[in-house]
Amino acid sequence: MNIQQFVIESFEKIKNLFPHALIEYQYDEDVDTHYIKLSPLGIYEDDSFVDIGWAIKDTYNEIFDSGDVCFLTDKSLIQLTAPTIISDPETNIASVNDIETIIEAGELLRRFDTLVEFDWKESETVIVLDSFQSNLEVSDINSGNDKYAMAA
Amino acid sequence: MSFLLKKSDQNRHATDFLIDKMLYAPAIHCGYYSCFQKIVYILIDYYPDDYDFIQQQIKERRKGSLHGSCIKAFIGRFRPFDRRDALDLDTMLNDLKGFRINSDYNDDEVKPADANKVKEIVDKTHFLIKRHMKV
Repeated sequence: MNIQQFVIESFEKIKNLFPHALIEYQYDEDVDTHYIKLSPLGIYEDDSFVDIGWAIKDTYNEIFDSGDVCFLTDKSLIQLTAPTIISDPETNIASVNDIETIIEAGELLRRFDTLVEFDWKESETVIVLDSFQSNLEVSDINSGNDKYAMAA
Repeated sequence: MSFLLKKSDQNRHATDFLIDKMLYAPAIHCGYYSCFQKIVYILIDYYPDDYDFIQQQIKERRKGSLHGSCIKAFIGRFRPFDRRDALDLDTMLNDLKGFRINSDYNDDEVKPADANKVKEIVDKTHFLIKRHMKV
């Protein structure tokens, strides 16, 4: 399992119990730490999160031999400046902000059982989740069409 | 009293003193080391095999950091006492570790509110360790 797969699976664990959670991920190479930010604050503080939190950390430690996972909230000192994977329940949009993450996470995003459609923009890529599609389509990047559709 | 424990205590007092003098970045540095020195003291005095293993692993694999490995090993020992408090401690220490590095090395302003948050983290860290491990 690579780190993108680990992050997507961690998101799923959280969303299974907290479907309305806003979850953001960012890696800081300077401190070799994978930050997972949870909003609202009540999710981290909920007693049910203790088991999920430890399950995520235990999985990380079983797979990876260095670095760590750190959960963040709005109260944390560290605030994410450029999260690379976001799951937003309000808009039903998950954003993945770098192409390598998109490619590596693409297969795993099928587990959301959703259409994954991303609009190519100058600064970020947005994946729109739609649960009614079941086929994979990726449009040609050189076609002049700036929209990619990937259904899972 | 162990010299390391004494240094931890002094760094904790220095955190309060430096915040009072509005020297926020040095306060964050001292606050982090106050926590880290206490953790290292506990590993060395109570779980010496864990500490020796960390040093050996870093020397052999040249992978991982002393700080990250010590925090992980310490949390592993703390977890049987209370899973909720252990998760909070892990969250706070990793948050503080990252913020201390940003504060020390990045060209970023450290605000009074950040320093006050650090003081809360330092106080809670020492409180939880005292509560469960009696150190």
